[in-house]
Amino acid sequence: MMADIRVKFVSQKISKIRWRPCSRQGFGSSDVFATGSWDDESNSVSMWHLPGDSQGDEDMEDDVSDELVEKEPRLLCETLHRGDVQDLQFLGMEHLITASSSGTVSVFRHHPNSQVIGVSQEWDKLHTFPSQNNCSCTSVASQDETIVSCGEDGKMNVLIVGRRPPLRRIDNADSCTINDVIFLKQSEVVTVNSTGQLKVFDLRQPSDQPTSLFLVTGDQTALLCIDKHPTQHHVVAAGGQDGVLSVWDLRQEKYPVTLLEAHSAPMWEVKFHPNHPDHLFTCSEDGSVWHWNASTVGAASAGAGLLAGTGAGSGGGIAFAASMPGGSGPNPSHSCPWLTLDVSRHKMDITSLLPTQKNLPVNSIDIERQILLCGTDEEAIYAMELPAIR
Amino acid sequence: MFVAKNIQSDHKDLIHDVAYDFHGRRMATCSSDQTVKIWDLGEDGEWHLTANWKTHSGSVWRVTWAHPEFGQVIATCSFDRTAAVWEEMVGEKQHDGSLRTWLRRSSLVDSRTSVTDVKFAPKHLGLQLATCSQDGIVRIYEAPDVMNLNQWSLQNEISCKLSCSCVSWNTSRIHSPMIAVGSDDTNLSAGGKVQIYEYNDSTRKWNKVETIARIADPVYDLAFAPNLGGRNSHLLAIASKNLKIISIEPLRRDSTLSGQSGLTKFELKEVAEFNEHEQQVWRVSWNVTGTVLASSGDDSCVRLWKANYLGSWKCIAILTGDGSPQETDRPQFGQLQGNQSAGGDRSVGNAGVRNLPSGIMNLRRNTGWPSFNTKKDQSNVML
Amino acid sequence: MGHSSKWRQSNMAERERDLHILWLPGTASCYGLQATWGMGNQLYVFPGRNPILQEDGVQAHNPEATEISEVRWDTDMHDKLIRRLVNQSHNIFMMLQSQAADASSATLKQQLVKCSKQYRSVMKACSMDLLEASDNTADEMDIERFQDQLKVFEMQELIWSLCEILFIDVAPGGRILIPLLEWLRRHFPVGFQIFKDILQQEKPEEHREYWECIYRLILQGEVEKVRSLLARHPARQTDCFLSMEELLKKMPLCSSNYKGSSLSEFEMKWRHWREDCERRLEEGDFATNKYLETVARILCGDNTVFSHLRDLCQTWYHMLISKLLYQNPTVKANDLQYYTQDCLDDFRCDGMLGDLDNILIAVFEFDSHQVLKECSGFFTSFWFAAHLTDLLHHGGCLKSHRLVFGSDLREYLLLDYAASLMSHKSLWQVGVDYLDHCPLFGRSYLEQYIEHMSYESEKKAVKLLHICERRNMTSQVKSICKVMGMRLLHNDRLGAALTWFLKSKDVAFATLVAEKFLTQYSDKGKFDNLDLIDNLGSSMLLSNRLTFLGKYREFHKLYEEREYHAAGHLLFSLLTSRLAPREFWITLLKDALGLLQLRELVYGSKQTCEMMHCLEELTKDTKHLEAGKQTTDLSELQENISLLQVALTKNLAKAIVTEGTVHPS
Repeated sequence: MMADIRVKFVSQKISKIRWRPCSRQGFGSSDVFATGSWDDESNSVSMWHLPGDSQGDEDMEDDVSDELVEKEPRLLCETLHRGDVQDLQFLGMEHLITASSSGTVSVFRHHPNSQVIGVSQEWDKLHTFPSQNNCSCTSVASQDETIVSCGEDGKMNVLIVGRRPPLRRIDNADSCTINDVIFLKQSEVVTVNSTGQLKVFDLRQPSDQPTSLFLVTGDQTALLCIDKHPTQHHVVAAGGQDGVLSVWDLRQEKYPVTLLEAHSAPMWEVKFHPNHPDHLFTCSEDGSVWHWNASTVGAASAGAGLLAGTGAGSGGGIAFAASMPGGSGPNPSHSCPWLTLDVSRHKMDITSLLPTQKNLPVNSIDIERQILLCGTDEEAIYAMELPAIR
Repeated sequence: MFVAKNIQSDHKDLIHDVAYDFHGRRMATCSSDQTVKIWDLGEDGEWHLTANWKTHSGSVWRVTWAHPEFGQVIATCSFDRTAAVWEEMVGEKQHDGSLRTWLRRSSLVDSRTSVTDVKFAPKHLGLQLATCSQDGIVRIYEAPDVMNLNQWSLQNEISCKLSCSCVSWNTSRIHSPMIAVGSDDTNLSAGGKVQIYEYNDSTRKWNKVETIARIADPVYDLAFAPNLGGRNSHLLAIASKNLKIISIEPLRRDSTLSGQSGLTKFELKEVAEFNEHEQQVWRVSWNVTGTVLASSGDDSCVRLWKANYLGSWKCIAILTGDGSPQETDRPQFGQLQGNQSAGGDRSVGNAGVRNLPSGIMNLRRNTGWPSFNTKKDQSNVML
Repeated sequence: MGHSSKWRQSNMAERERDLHILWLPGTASCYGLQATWGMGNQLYVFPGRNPILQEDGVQAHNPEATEISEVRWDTDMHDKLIRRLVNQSHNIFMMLQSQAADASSATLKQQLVKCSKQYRSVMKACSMDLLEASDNTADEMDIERFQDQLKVFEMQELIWSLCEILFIDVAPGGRILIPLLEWLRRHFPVGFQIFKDILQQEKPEEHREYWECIYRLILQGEVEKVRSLLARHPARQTDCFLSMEELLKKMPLCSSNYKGSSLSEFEMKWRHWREDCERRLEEGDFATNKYLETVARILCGDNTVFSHLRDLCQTWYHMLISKLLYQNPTVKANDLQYYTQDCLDDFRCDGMLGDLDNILIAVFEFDSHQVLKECSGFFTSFWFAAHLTDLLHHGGCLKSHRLVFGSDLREYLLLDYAASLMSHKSLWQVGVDYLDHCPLFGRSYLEQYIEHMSYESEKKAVKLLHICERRNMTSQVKSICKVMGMRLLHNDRLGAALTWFLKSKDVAFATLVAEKFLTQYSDKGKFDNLDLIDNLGSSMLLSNRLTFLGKYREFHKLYEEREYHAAGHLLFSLLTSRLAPREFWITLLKDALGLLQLRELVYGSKQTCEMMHCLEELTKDTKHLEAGKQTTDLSELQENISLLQVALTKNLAKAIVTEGTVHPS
């Protein structure tokens, strides 16, 4: 049951961890990832190499005694980053975008041959407050050459790589802090904010207003992170400051289809598995990483009335699966298990992935194929193999 | 391990006070050159000058920060007989590198003589300010509307009869508001130089509850230790002819007596007394948790004092300069060859900041370490 | 801390009473020196005397006189390479605390042993990192620093593992020598290294240190290795070699023979073997080979030969274990201390005892307090003393003699360790957990530190909030929210500010923001933060003003949706329930104007009358207002009032007519 876990202590608190995308879509697995640090006297962006997983490079003949050390992530290169790394995204194979607590958005270039990393473009203090207090840029998202950045100033900037002036500034995108932003479609982005709202913006529209607005519940619990279903883009999952996971069908109601009480502390990231979207991963301030397996949901027999998931410790499982009033019942056309949880009430496998109860927060996760990466405040990187994902 | 880093303040005269804001990201300095400077800790870990302006028409004695719940606010006091409240301006966008503007929100002009100290009250008392002056009067001001710093009303004037040099608020949330005032009157027969006042909610007056008679020598600074939840008594450090730490413990009110006077009775104990500063102690300052005291005095040394867990106070370290500035060429602690190059890249753009090498060690651990003769130690505690 | 560098202090072995003076480089003291505190272990030191005694007008132009020194100490744990130690040992520490809380004493002992070994393996891992770093740098300062740190780790491992053997993982039956021998071999690996080297040689016996190696190994009880070396000697078939081989083979040593047999059984075997050794030595079995003779004399436990081989033992504690092995192999742990003096005497000519010697003596004497005291004085960081103390505390080793302050001593050290972590920009999160396990003062320390913690980003504020909420630190929660809200308020981010005030249920400031929204509306005729205001939900109930704001927006929406009756009634209730601030009445009434001018009747006669009453009150107010308001405002106000008077009167008439014809149900 216990996954193969590799740990590397890196002497800085990791705020973000991201796999480099694969060179060819659908082929091969990436073995390079990037991390960003936060809350230190000087912060940095680092590139790492994860030595071949067991099936990967069979030609590598390691000295058995050194195997553990050999399998540790190895630092390729690093560079200083001004301010906390608030967000980190790959832009193709060689470029990285960071969002800084200083309000700056930077593009870094990683030269894989010389293993050098450096800034290639910077929008200095893109997000600001009228006073010169730092205004954090909280999140960036990219689609092709377009970058969208959001911040504590509630502003959204649309940037084009290689062009200095922003293509567009949406000054009143939000009254509050925008905590995360992702692209939904080519020119559509979705944001979550600190009052529990989810907004969809169409970047082609001249209006600064969102095209639609969704709410978690009546109370103002902040939403901290969001991810979209890799194939069904109307399905999004978001994590709240109260640790609740919410799933929306953006074609339908204002309120989430499913609310799953999950972590006991703020949920920092939620990630669908890119190739196996029935698997979802969340990490939290409470120091845990959960694996949500909904692949069994559709298959299990109905009417069992089982509520609880398994394995994720106390408070785990579906404590309440709320169907919002006005719901039109199950739509036979969607086969997405995330949308049918409430009506089917089927058993979902929930597994806590880190071995002991850890004490310090897990800030960031990323998954490619069978390896899940975690970045933590205990200044460690975890790389976990999850062979069970099918 | 021990690290020192020097910051060239560029004040044109002696610095009188350095105040660190609540969150440790900002620093204010004031000087005889009549200016105040504000320094901000940058993302690069260095202090950057972000404001510098003339605040008074005389030496600025003290500068102090209000709690950030009230915004970015400082208060100053000066030889020019005034105290002032300043707020950082927000609004117009400035180019990077230019200085920020601080606006004088209020000038407190009630004093007829040099205002020697100014202190904000602990935040649970709202936005209140205590000043003291050479004419022997402590004044308590209040801004009733925390959003409007232009309006400060003089709540109380306390006449201490003796020239005042310093004032300190007790930070306890449980005890009713309390201040200690020190006097630098050199007349030894003029009575105790430390007075303690307590605020009475029903009469809305400050009443003197104690005069510490045994301190007859002039007092130049005093400070209440931050109040730790578990501690029932209040610790007061006093800089006088020697360094004293006094514990002030409220006694249970006698119901019959309090009916008449309404005053709390206290038991005062001298917890520690040190003569190491040779002649005169100038200044005392507590750390965040109120467990280590820094004192400085005539011997040009800064000494750190800490209580061991049996409550007996010991000196744990001495800091001093390395002599006259003219002699900086000679080899000294912290200067090793080829050492400066390492810090080169970090000090770019910070002409005023000089990184200095650091040295190993040390606050001696076994100083202040308890001896294990239980009986003896317990008798010490009782003293 | 790239710029910082350390070097060895010239005088490591200071005496207890020596107070350390820190000379601040480049700081002038001729002007006097003063200091104020920063966060944690941080002081700002600046020249100058007390201001009052300063003669005004005397200027100090020298830049040295205005230089401020920032001083930090106890920063050992801040080093990049050492931070691994901080984080990993934190995990072990936390595990131990939770286990100690609910484990039975039997399982607790196992856990303690496990934790102790884990702590040591973390130290080991850090040593490896340091070694690697030292190999990978050319900077001599760095190398020296790494080497110094390595030495410290080596000493800590030496002390820790000895404490583990004697205090934590006490061998059953008091057979203390086996673990002590392992301890010895781990820390004095020279013999083994030469051994490996010799085996590589074609002619081992010609190796320069062949015999020295054999002595070293036999002193550590490595009988098998000695035999394999002897078996490679060309003279192995000679009598003396064969005799030695027989002795070594028969030696009733340690693990194999130890186990399964009773102590007395072992002692009997040992005596027999020993007699055999002495007999063969006396009979001159080894007379032809002086090296083998020396080995035989070691086996016989001959005091003089140990003194002779002093240099191979390197230290008195090596000699102690070696001697005991051959002189008293069943020695009890408690008796170890009686044998130390002899060995110390052998090494006494080297001068004074060092700190490390004193610590080890204290361990052999089972004086745990002395050990901890010496350790915390000797090592520059609190890490070692704090963690060892905690371990010994849970193992019940601090309760023993004389002292009732065991737990306080632990807390004292943990607090200081935590203080050094709380003084660091990044490591504070680890410090929080240590403070949690200080029952007396941990909580209040934490409160003080949290209040002085900086949070530039909301993310950090959220993390701090979580820490406070989990510990029910309500006043700190309030304060964080207020500071965040205030900061946003000053930056004109009203919406975001409101969310923080809502979070802390700060009625006064929620009201203040609501008022600012309303003022904004009065000034601009529109709201800026509709996404927030329209979705306040039940949180609007926090303050009356906020409720009014929310309800007033509801009115707008109803009006826009042409739900005039519902809109009209909502407006009326806002006006008459006194939820609306007086200054806002005129705005509400102006809004009503639109409804009054509709063809259909919205307000009945009774309602109209009440509204007229409100208007009347406002008219009275305008008389007060006259002094303050500008005349243009005032005339506009009066114009509005008269417009409303007309409209209300008309509506009243209409209402009376309508009500006369249609009876209300």
